[in-house]
Amino acid sequence: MNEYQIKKNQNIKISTVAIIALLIPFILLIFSENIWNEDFSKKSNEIKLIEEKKLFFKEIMELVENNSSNQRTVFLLGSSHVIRINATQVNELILDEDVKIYNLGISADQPTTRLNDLDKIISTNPEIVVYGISYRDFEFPYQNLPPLNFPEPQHIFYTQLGIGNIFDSIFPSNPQWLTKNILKDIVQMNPSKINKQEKIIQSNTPFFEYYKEPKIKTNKDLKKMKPTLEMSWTDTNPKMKNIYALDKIITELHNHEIKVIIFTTPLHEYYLNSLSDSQKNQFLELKKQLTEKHKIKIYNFEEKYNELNIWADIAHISYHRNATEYNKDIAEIISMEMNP
Amino acid sequence: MLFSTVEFIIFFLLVLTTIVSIRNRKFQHLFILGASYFFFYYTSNYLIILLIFSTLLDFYAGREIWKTHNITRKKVILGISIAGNLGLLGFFKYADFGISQLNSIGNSFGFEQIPFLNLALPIGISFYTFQSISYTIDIYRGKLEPSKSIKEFAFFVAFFPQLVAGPIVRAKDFLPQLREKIEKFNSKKKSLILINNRNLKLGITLMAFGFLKKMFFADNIAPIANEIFSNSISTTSFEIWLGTIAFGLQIYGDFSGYSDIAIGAALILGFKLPMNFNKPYFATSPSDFWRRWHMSLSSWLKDYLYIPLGGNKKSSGKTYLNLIIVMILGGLWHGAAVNFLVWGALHGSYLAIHKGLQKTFPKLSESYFFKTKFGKIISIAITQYFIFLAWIPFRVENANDTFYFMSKFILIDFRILEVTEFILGNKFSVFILILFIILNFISFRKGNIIEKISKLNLKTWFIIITTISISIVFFYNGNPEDFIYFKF
Repeated sequence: MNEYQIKKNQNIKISTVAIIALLIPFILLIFSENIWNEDFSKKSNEIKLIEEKKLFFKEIMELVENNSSNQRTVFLLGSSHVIRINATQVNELILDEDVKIYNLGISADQPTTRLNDLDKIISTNPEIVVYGISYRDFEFPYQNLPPLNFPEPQHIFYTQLGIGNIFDSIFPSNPQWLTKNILKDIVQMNPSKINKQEKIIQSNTPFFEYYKEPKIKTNKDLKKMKPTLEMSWTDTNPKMKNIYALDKIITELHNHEIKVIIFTTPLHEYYLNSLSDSQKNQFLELKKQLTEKHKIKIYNFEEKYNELNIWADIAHISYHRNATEYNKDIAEIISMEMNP
Repeated sequence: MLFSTVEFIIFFLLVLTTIVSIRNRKFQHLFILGASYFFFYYTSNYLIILLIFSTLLDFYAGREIWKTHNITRKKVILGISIAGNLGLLGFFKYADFGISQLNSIGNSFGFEQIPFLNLALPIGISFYTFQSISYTIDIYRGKLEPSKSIKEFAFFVAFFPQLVAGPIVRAKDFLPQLREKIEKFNSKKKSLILINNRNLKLGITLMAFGFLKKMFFADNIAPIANEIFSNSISTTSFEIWLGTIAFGLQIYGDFSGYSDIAIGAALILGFKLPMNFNKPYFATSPSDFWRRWHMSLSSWLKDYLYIPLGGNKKSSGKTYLNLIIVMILGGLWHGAAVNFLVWGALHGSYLAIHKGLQKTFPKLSESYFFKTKFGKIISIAITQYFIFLAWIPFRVENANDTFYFMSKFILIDFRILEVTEFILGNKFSVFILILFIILNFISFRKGNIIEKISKLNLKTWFIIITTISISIVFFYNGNPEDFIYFKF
């Protein structure tokens, strides 16, 4: 064997060893996830949520198709700030039996991700879409560009080739969560303890699990909290992806004669105080742009509930049965827009 | 394309496989050039035009500067090249900052507000424009021959491992490596020259440590800094100390991790990039810190800004002023915001004061005490106190919060309960932070650990790389922080 061949073999050896070293943890991770109890992996893997989401849309579509022609469907869309709206309570407050409210809020949702579901939402032909927006909907993820007609390799990688999605479906979305719980489980020797607290899911709010007794935090507790979000939200450039996506969502809904109500979700003053003036001004500017372009009124609940004792944390209203003000306001704007 | 993504791993493996398969060296380099442009296009889309513009401008400017013997003409062409690059950088990075400053001045005179341009910041523009500028200046200074072909120069500017966040490579260091590979090669066994055993093993080790620093350490330490600095309400001194240390370590793990991945990837392809970090938190003085932190930027600032301004060749006052000017501009290089300006000004002041002290008390800096172990620990502690203090304006954008955090950092309130509660609530992140400090200390004591590991036998090396991979994969939080320096 000549020197070239020896070096080449050595290269192959090193590369093989490196690839094995890279593969071992992934195999171990998938193995760990599969051997752990079902609830455990279910919670850790967002892909299950996606599956549920697909099923849910199927159910909604069937439901709408089977419903009487009188049914007036209203969808609530947005992130975790919107999830906290109690769709059942809003439904009751509207006092119209034909109206059916679905809260389709998804934790950490942003307009760009919501845009993927738009066709399904439109196909169910809702009368009104109520969209709650907040600062985090427009966080600056990495790089935003105007949507020109240049091919987007990222889109090809994820959507057309589906390679990114394969990885997403194989690996848990938060391995650290899984690891920590496995370690806890091993240390405590009591697997049944984990994730066995009673949680409730309502059929009209399918993407939100809540504990039977949701908590309301005291002002003292809230004072200690700090926004965990990195507010790298930058500007109101309409070319920014999330702003562009929201704009597209509104335009498409309008094109299909679906009424759109936009509101800003409530934030506690401790949260609002952490935002810079420029962030606040930019958010104002965004709202102004939306109002002018789409001729819609934006309802501002951002600072409305500061004085009330209804907060789960500084960014979310509690789902507690006594925290009704948020639901009342949402019911009121839906009623107003349905019967102008 | 983020280094810490599946896309990059697939991209890099494809590049390596193709490189090994291509038998013609020129095509190998053309392929790497094409891959580099794809790498940039993947996340920056049509902003690649700016990269191409900068490349063409400096290639032809460099050529003309070299050809002409007329000094005035040389100066004019150099001026065009610098203005073109800085114009690009200024327009995309600083236009809105300038407008906001003008608006605030205009506001007090009742002028109408100028609308913001709201431009997307092209990734890596601060790095590749500086790289290009150094090329034309070096040719102007007669230190470098211009590139013979546009392909060669484009390869230097766009080489994907260092394209978006450095290290800032100098043409005089990089082009000879490239030329050596293109011109002097006459063997048939081409792929071996490009990917050799030692480079491959060291490169993989560097990349593994880079990923570890970024994904295991920086991303898991980040929540501490994020939480503490997100709200100034009733934050106590010790919490601020913890947040500052966390941010200092996060940015170090993030950026030095990125640099390690970049250097490792380049090394596998046969290119040596300059070192960018050398245990900066063990620096014994501000100037020592800048010899260890973002070394490619600090040496760039020294060669192309500090020395042309007169360096330390003029009066003491001018030297101090030069240091402050250079560091303020260095701060602004990071971003168009007042907080970066303050960070730069603080570092400029540190350097000026340190230089002033050295001059006023020459015996003190040479005293035996500072050469003893204890003296060195004292020097490190004092230096790092000020370095970490300066991280506050770097991290916190709001001026009121910055003032609050800095005053609490300096004037300690001795409240211990809140920080204890915070630590108990963030045990994992705090554990990772302590582990990172310990490992950095070991690395400081033991020298170049990465190189030593790369020289281990294959079995031991495999165990270490597997352990690193397990740590990364099992403690990946599913919500990675962007590389901080990608924003610059």
